[in-house]
Amino acid sequence: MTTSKKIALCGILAALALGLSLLESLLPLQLLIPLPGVRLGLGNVVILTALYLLGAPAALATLLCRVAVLYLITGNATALFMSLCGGLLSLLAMAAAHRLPRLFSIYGVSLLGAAFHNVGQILAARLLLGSWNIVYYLPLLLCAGLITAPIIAALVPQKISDFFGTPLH
Amino acid sequence: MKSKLKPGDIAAGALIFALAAGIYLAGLDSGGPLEAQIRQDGRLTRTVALSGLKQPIRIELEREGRRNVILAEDGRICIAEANCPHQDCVRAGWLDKSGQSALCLENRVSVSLTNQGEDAPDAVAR
Repeated sequence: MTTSKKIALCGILAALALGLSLLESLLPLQLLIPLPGVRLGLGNVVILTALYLLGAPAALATLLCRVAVLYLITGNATALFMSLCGGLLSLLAMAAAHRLPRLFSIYGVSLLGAAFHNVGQILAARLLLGSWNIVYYLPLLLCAGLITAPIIAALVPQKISDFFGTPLH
Repeated sequence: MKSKLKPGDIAAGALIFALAAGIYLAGLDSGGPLEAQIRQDGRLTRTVALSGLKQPIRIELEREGRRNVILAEDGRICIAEANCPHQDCVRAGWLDKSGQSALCLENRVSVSLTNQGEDAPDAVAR
């Protein structure tokens, strides 16, 4: 695939990630699981797709683009910091696991991504709030991730052509 | 690419669960008197001894337009009102066990319960 095609795809994926985050915030998941902070993580479907179909640099570009545009829309610096910490740590773990295909399938990569996303966000919250007490919230987030991460992995398209519904020329 | 589970997947899942269980067990009640720590902008601004509290206390925090109202009673505390958009902190409801906390990330306010005296990171590493 040419570089310009890759860049265009990254843009589409970043837009998709933003849309999915918005869609997710509309889903009444809080009614089902009344725990603050527990989210499905639909945006990670896109990052995983970018990682598997386009490689780690493209996934990083997609992630940064998504986070930056979200900040431009919301102007919420706290959310920006939390997203960056969670997203970067998560991507680092996923990219590392992705390089060991004999050891991890996409399900393992997604599990590690979810866990490191939680760890990153808790560390970010620790910096913002100045207390280690929030670490006690981590077990709950980690267990939720054990359920949501495989769902996320199952949603990732297997080929670029699946992603578009038609073969890509 | 998308295939059956591999050994690392199971190991990762087990490891994540073990970490969750470990942190959970480290944070269990040690049976001491319950104390609430209220933090604003990362600094401890107030502590409230909750065990044996005779009268309910209403604490109003306000800084640069960010507003949180905290209610404390004997053995429990909650963020009753907040002007943040997500209301996660209010939805956390009453806290009555050590290790629980209500966070308001938008307003940078946290309420957390401890029964180990000072905020002790060692309690996590233990």
